[in-house]
Amino acid sequence: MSESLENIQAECLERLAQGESIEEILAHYPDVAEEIRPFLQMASQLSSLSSQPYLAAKRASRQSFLEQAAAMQDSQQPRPFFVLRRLFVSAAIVAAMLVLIFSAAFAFSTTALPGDTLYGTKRTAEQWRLSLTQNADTILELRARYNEERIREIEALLRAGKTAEVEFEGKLESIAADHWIVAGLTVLIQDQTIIEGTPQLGELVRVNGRTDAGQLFADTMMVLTGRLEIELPEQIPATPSPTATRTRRPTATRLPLLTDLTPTVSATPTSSPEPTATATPSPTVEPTETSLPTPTPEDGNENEGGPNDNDSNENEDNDNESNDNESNDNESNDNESNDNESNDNESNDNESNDNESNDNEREDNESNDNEREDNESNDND
Amino acid sequence: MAQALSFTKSFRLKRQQLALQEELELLNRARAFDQEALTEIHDRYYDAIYRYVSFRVGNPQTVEDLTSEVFTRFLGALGERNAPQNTIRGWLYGAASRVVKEHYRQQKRAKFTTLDESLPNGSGDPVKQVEETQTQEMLRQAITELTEEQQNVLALRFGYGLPIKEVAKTMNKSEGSIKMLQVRAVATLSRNLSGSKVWQ
Repeated sequence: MSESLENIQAECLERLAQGESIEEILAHYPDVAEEIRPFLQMASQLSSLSSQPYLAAKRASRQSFLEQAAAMQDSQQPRPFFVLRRLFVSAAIVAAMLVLIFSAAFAFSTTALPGDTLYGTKRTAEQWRLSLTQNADTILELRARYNEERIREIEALLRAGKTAEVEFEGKLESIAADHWIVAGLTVLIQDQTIIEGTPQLGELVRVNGRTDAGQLFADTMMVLTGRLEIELPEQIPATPSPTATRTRRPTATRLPLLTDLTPTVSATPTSSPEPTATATPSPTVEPTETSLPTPTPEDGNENEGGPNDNDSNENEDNDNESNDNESNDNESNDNESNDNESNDNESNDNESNDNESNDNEREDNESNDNEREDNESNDND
Repeated sequence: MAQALSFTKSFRLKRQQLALQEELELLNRARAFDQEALTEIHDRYYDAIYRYVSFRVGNPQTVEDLTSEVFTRFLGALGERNAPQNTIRGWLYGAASRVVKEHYRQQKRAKFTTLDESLPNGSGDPVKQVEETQTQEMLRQAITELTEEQQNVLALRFGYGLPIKEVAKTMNKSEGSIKMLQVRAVATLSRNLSGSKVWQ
């Protein structure tokens, strides 16, 4: 097909599109009219090939189109369930990461020493484990283990020559003027060292102090014998507590041994206040109170009985009874000796039995005082 | 005279720019599933798309279904943030072309031909109408044997009803090449169907 014929055909199609009839178009090109007639007829036929839509079909299509659009818009908006699920997944990931971080921190903190960054984490982990434990035996076992860990830490600090605040508990193995040995560790006693309680060899003591240049200096030494058992009932259920309170009586009976040790203790300036504390006993006041109204045992219970210690109350009741008899005797025989008895331990007017009962009474009162102090300290703890 | 021409040219350019801007705004509203914008798009282009499809497919029900399918795909493209980038018309034309092609591919796979079951509309001779329907089916069959570009030019020109300039823009070709594609497509059809008994 020649190029000129194609151009003519193009022009013919333009004319056809503009609305001219086939005959009118052919009249413009008489030379090629017969040649392009089938071409124009075909083009005319093509124009009639498409059709106009029905209005109903258009409306139906529009309605369907808009409904689909609305449904699609709804599906694109995040549904509450998916939002919640996404939040839950995010929270779970964060929780997992936190668990991982804390686990790693706890794992790394096991070798931390006082003063290290992770040492706080180590102690927190120990406290968590203790607070989550319900069994009394397990608690005691954990405490023992953690205390051993404290001692190992101090040993490591001493080896490294590091300075850090430390605290541990252990058996008092040796007492000297300037140093004690507690749980195998030599603790240096200084003038400012505060000693709470009456230290005695073999007893459990808590040491608060610091390590410095390979030496362990004590700030506070606290005798724990009789204290540790009292702390337990706060954390554990009922069953272990009665056995714990019963063990307190033996510690009271042990106290006479303290008098055997007092010379060595009194050699240190810090321990000297303790004997003076026992030398002005509160029981001396109580007999004077009981002697005046000729009390019944119930009165003695009300005056002296602690709410937590029934055994000691019973003993005290007996003691009061003996005091009552004693006071009656003294009243009938010698009022002065009664005064002396109440105020002076070395009175010779009293009989030996009376002195013994007075000694026992004083010891019981001392033990009661100690127990009261213990209770107070436990309440404070 | 020259001034008048340049004024006319700049006026046309400005009008085209405004039309393009208006269409882009319409498209942005459609992306937000604005019902008014979507209604406007549907009503503005439904007839042209229908004619385009009916140029290539005979059965009116199929034409309606395929035309609706073009608009459904438009919505899908909006939802996937793969919406038409240039013009709505260009995108719809491309979608219509693909929909018709897929329709014929499915027909070929199923090895059946849909019959135009539309009844004569009462006006005119029924026999003549049936003959006309047969002629149109033969013509459509002949069109499918043309090249893809030739088929699109014919559909846009005679079905969609676009002027040469718009067809060139839609197909991203020059006006001259669109004219030649059109002439050669019609000439090929004329030549191929000249011996047909029905065509005579």
